[in-house]
Amino acid sequence: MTAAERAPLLQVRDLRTYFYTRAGVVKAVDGVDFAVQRGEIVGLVGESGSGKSNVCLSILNLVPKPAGRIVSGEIVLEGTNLLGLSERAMRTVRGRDVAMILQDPLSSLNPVFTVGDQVGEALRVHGRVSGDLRERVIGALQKVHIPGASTRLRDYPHQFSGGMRQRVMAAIAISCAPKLLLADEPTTALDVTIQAQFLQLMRELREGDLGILYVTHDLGVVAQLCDRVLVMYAGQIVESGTVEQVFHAPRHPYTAALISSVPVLGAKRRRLYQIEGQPPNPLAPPAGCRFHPRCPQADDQCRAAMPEPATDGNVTYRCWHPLNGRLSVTP
Amino acid sequence: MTQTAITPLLEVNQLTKRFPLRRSLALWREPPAVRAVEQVSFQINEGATYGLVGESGSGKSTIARLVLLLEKPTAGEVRFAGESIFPMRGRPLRAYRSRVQAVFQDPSSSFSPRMRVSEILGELPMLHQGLRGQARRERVSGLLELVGLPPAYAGRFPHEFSGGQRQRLAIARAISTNPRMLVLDEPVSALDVSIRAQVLNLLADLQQQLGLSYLLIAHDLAIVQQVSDMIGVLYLGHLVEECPSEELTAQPLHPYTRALLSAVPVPDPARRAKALPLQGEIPSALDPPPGCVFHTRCPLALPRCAAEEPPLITVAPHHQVACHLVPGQVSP
Repeated sequence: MTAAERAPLLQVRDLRTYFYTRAGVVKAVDGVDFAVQRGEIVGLVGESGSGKSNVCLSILNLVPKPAGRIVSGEIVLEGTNLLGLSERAMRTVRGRDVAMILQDPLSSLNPVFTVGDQVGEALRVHGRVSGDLRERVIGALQKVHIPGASTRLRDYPHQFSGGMRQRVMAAIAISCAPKLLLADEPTTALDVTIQAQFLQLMRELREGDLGILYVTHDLGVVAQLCDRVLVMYAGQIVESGTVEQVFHAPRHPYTAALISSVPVLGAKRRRLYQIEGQPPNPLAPPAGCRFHPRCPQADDQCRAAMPEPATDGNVTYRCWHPLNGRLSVTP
Repeated sequence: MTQTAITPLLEVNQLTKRFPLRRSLALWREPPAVRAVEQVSFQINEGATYGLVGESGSGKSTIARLVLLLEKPTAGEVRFAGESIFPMRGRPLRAYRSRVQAVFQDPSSSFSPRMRVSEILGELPMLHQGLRGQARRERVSGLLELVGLPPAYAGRFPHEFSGGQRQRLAIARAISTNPRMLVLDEPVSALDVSIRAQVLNLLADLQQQLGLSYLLIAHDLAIVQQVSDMIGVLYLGHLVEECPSEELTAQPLHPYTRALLSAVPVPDPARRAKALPLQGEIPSALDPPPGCVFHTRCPLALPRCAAEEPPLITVAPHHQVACHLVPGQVSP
């Protein structure tokens, strides 16, 4: 194995994406480090406003300009720092090396072109056509299990159901055999049984070397699908590790509280654990640890200084008073 | 079991709602219709929570809208405290509207952006109880306190609140008429995970304090199970199973209920789903399958299922299921 193969597929270092608004600077992503290996599904969880979608947009260098700017950091895909690429070079990366699936397929698909046209477009643009384009399109649609692919490619997006549209998006995404797939809440708008089908598809797709960064707010999906998980809060990754570690012995109180506040099917009826308060104002995040105003065990140290990431075995966390493998937060 | 004479607070009997499409030129022919709700019956007892679960297109929101008198039924009736609601006019109708209130999914679209909290929460007490001036202001502060918001917020506008706080406001407005029942249509789906627990706990507290009954409509089985006493599972407008909340996970009988349960992602990596997901999608309600509506996706379907509609039968106290294979060999 050469050094290049051992290196992670994607390495993100100290990523900072800020938005300069009239009201002030929003540090949407504020010093984020993580890696995605080949054939690995990494879950990125967080609540709205935690910055998880902006991590994806930063990887593709699609942060809305001019308000948004990647202030610092490195995004290294197989040895190349994507932030150093020209816009022209970046265009060949998007869709070919790094593909993305968004939450709402209806607003990502063009209503006036057939599904076949749209899957074929990605192949044409990236010059990946060897032989018959139609065959390649049918192949991509079959890979995502769209029944009757050879006739359905002549249909328009509105003739597909929500679940099937999301499969079309997946077909477009994988048509050029990308190395990395960014999935931003792809099943949030789907019903549970359709979501289960889509998650099954994700598992199949990673069978090759495809690395997947799966953004979601649903801890259940992370536990069912992912190998590792990154927990984001107010622009930072507060805990990361293997799903087993993070779900069974979370070190950060936010992770623990989040897990405890989710109702579990089949559990006895009880009062749910509730995280008090609201997520912080992105314009004026609290000093020190950003979770301290809502944390039951915060003390002066937490209020004064931001903890640096600490690593312990397979987990990395940002907390002055990490929990000791117990899945409960006591005030 | 003693069948005591407690009349349920809400009784839904053989409720059916079809939305006809435009009539074709052949006027003698029945126009095609979306069969949203087909002969659904259930009851909600005083102080209890009845959860209706189902995927999109199952008819759960149509039932909510029927109970709220926002739609007229095609057939069937709904009785509230013994009174049939659809024929109500005048004074009884006003009384019904104040006794049954609703909380919807999206709290930002349920308020007028130009009204202050004091007006939003004071409007119904003024209309229904004639509260004015100081009495009305006191009522508003009382309501804010009940839902865990500072009374000082009375002067604010809805946009000044976060999503979770706005849902608290929606709940405050719903209870401002002293209702006996709330229809909760996906009350926490739009909220963040950490805020969901706050709102669900608040609803549980209010139920205890005020003796409210809830009709909870949601797609998230875990949430429905967590807060409901009885649960009804809907598929394509049909009630396919009804049971006490504890039995839903312990003893699900209908193959659809089982499939639904196994599709819920459990937040525990040690309990990964082993069963293959249910194949296919919910069929069109314009042209529902004959026989059992679920037979097109059912892993256990027999020829009989395509021909004959299974009746809802009682298999245990309070446990009903509509499946030809029950009681019988429904084992996975």
